[in-house]
Amino acid sequence: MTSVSLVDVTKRYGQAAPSVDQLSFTIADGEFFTLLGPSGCGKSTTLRMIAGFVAPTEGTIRFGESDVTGVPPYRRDTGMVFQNYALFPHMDVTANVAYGLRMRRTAKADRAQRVREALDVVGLGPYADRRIQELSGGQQQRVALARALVIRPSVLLLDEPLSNLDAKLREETRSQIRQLQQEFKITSVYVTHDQAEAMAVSDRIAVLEAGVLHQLGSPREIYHRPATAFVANFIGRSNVIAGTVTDRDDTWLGVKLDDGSVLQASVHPDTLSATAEVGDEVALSLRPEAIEVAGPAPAAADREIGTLHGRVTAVEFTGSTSQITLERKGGDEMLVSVTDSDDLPEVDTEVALRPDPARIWTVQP
Amino acid sequence: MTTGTVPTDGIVAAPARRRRAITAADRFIYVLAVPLALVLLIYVVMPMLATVVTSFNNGGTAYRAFLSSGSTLSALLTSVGISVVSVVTAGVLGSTLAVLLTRFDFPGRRALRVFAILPMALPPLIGAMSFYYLYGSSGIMPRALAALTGISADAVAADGIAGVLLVHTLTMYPYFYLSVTAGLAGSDASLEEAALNLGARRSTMWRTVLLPMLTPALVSGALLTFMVSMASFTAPQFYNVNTLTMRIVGAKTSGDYELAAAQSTVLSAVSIAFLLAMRWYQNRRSTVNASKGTPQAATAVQGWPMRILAAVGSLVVMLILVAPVAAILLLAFTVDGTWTVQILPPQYTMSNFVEIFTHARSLRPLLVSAQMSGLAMVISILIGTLTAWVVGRWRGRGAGVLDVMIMLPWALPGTVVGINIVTAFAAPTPFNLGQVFIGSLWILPLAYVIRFVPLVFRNAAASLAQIDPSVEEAAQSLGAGPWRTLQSVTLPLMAKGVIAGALLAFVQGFGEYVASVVIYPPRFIPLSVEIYNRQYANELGSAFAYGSLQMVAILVVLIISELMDRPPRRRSRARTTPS
Repeated sequence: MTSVSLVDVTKRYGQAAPSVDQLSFTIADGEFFTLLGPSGCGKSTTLRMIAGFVAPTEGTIRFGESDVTGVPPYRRDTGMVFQNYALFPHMDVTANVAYGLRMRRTAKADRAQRVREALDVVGLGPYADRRIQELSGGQQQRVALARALVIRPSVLLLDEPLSNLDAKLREETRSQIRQLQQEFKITSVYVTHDQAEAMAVSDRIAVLEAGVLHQLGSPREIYHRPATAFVANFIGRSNVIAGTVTDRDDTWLGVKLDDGSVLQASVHPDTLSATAEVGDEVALSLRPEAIEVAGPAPAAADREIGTLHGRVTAVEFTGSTSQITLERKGGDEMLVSVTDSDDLPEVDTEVALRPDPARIWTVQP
Repeated sequence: MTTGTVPTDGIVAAPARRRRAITAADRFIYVLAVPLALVLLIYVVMPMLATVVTSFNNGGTAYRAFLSSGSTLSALLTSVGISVVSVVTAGVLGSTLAVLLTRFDFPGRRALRVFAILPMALPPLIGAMSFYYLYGSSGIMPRALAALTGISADAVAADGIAGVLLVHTLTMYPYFYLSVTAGLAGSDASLEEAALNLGARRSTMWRTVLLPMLTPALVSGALLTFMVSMASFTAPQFYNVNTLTMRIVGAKTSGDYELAAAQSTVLSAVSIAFLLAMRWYQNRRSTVNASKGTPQAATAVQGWPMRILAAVGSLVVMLILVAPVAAILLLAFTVDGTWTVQILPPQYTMSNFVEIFTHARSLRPLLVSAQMSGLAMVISILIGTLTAWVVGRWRGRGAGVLDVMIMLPWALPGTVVGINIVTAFAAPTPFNLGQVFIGSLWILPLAYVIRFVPLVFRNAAASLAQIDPSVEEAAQSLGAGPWRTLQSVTLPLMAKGVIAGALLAFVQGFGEYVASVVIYPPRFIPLSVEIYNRQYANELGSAFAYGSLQMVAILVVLIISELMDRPPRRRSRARTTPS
């Protein structure tokens, strides 16, 4: 059990833009930490640097107090679960799980005992001497998990471990991983591109894009208080609209949008809304459920501050809510989610939209 | 940089950082790559250079002799001519067989499919010999024809260049047969249906759809056939045709090393150029077929007359393909010196085989070849497997260099490999580290390793390509060091390919003739040279008895490889079935 810190870690391949750029964060002892981002964002490279398969171009990686930057993977004491499981095809289930213990020269009796326990924990006790090829994808996944856990690693690394499972199994395994992690209190680093998965299991999430850390925080923080337009878009669904600060106060911010309408966003302490000055370029993040349809659009002269206007292009009934797609002036698409009712606007009508000022987030464009 | 243990850490931060960008895995690759590169440099690359250097001794007079002496130049032209014609004849035969066997269903098809690859089981020397005694002027077929029709045997015999072409055609058509069969099997029936649906007639469809798709298969078959024909030595030797390989051995035998070296250099240049052309073509061609359809089903041959005709035709083809093998087995039982002018040998005996295994002198060539080839196999396993791993895992440019170094001898004719070894290890020089192999125990294993390590390498590399690199990473993250990972995970997973390649290398060495005849030391006469000597001394039965043993060895290896390719049977699971 240990904490993991990255200090100014950069990875560059050749002359191209760095895959990971000046990344710094500390993962607390026993924390479930997730690296989240689209493919190519540098999350896997970061995980592989923590595992020791990739050496950082610059920067330091520490496990607890000790610098492990130059330590080879086999001396780092990490347990890793690979995306494709990477089980040894020439060994049976038991031999796979026992491999790490054999490398650690654990006594034979102890080894057998621990392998049995680990297989029981993941519910694979009866499969101990199956060949790997005889197992289903979900079972293989659990062998990989048992193999990583049985050595009681100081850090557990999980590289998109659920991406090869079907949807139902994915949710089951996800909660099983979380449960085991809590039970053993293992510091865990989890890589995924699936934001729902990340939200469900993580203590904290680091959102990466193009090798840069956009935001680090609890699932609630990054969902409700996105720091950048990228995070707002990537986590859940959001309408992100660029604008310029025209006016401000201690409690609100006036932002003129690209189509000429003006919105007022509430100021939240310790966020961009508290520091942005008049003339700054910002972006506003509007969650679809934080917008209400305020009837037909009035004539251009009568438009009020705090409203947006658009032409309805589609209305979709999805059950408890309905999704309204609109096109704003300039062609940008907007999504509004409303409680289903009988008087939804018709397609091709112009409507006014009123976002809730308290739920408008001012973010880095 | 807070817990650095090196005292100079703070002072030279930049280089220390850069050094860290090399991981332990990279370092392990260098540890293996350096000795492998040195070994390949000394034993593969250096001998080639030695030949080139030798060819320029005396200010390049050897090349002037090459160009001025009509016989050498005409030998080169003969080689090229034979190779071009071989490509055409082997191409027509191989492609026709491939199309017939994949597209048509007729009586005898399944048996013919098995027999179609039989020529691959013929060892080079004994194969050429059996063709000589089947179709040559003193062969079985011409004599039989002469007895039946009264035409003189010489008129119908395949002799001289015609004989060489016959041997080439019947032994090299599998290059086309296999590549065209694979090309047809990989093609999608819906493409053909699309062409017919769009209004193309069947012949137009073949010309505009199938033929362009088979072009890569035909080109690689042609290049391979051309290379192998240029390197051919045994057939020209039997039919006494003056090819470049014959001139090289002739020049070496008469002691003109400069001329032999110059001729070898020219032949190497041609062969390497063709190897490069093949690689270039294979890399350039686009993915032929993007869709994953099922290949066209075979059309059944309809109607009794046609079916009987097809059955008779396949029987004739089968007989032609089996004939050389049957001839080898038949001649192995003849009494030495009794077959003179008869159609078939008149007297048969078991004593040829009995003698091989009861007389120490007769057993010796068998043991020599087995031991030399066995030794070469062990060394090839070591070098080929490790090089395959380094080439597969090294992301630097060095990987390509090592790949070329180990595969180069594959393009070189055996004769040239022999000459290279002779020129490089005849006298102690700094380049060969003072090693002299001429006349030593090590010279044959050395030649076999150089010639056949590419077989182990290619098979090992192919198995390595099947292994997911993350399996190795998993081992490392579980605490296994690089060596431990290689030994407990990677090598066991590569084992099948390595064994298949090693067995192939062994039988190739066991039957090797072309390089052996250039370099063998008098104390260690290998099997093929002994076969040639026996045949030369008119001890035909003994020669073919040895040859049949070579053939059996090859068949055993082919069967073992075939069995290894099959998936293992599932073990019984009754005991552990989950409740």
